[in-house]
Amino acid sequence: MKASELTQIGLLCALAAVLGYVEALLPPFVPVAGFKIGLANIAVMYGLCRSGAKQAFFIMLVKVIITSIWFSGLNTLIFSLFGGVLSWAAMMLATRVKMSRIGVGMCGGVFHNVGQLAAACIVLGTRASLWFAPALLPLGLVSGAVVGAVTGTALKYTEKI
Amino acid sequence: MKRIDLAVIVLVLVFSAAVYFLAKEESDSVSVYSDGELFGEYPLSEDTVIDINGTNTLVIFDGKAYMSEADCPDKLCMKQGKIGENGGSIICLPNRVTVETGNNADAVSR
Repeated sequence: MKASELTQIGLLCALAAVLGYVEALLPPFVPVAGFKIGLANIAVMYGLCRSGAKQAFFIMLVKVIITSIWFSGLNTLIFSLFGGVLSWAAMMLATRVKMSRIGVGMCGGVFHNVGQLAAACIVLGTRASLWFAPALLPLGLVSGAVVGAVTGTALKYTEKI
Repeated sequence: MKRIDLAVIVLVLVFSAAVYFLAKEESDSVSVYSDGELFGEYPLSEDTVIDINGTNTLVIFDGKAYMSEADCPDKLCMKQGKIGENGGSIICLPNRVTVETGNNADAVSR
């Protein structure tokens, strides 16, 4: 691994942590603990588009661990992890099929929420959380589109760096 | 935006709408689960106050159920509002308590 690549991953991990902090300051956008917008996904998606899937997976893991320990407590780790892994996988597939930046972000957002719903089913042992799916999946489209738009803009302006 | 982006949007929206309409059901009772185990089932037709493990208080009033008390810091379950005839659920993650609508009023009242 080249030093420049290593530096970039380090920077993006730091960015993910800061965005996780910003997100922790926001009030929950749906009244279920553990469900989040996924602002830190900007760092993961940037890493995915810029460096590749492996690097993005590493940034995602660091993001999940740091934000869980700092902001939400370890009992929500499973939520972040499910959301993180699924959204990483969805975004990777979305880039493979050449979706636009916004489209990649939207896939990430939707599957972030799918992962969290799955985690809630496992943690609670009931299907109660599935009642939130019709609201959360479209919300994932919206938050994902924001993530995708921001990442796309960031990529455009940092292309030459 | 490309065509494949739009396809994903439509797919997600259609899927969500399908889940919404399929999940919607006439219900006359609520089931309370604590830690994945059934805590109790209550008909929506009878107004009651249910103490769940001393951590949450569920109120059934006027055919609707809602969480009136919770000892967790975020109180998110109390903000989830009332669930009733059209189905729904209330989730308290910190206490691992869930309330779901069902159709067991006959079984419960007998």
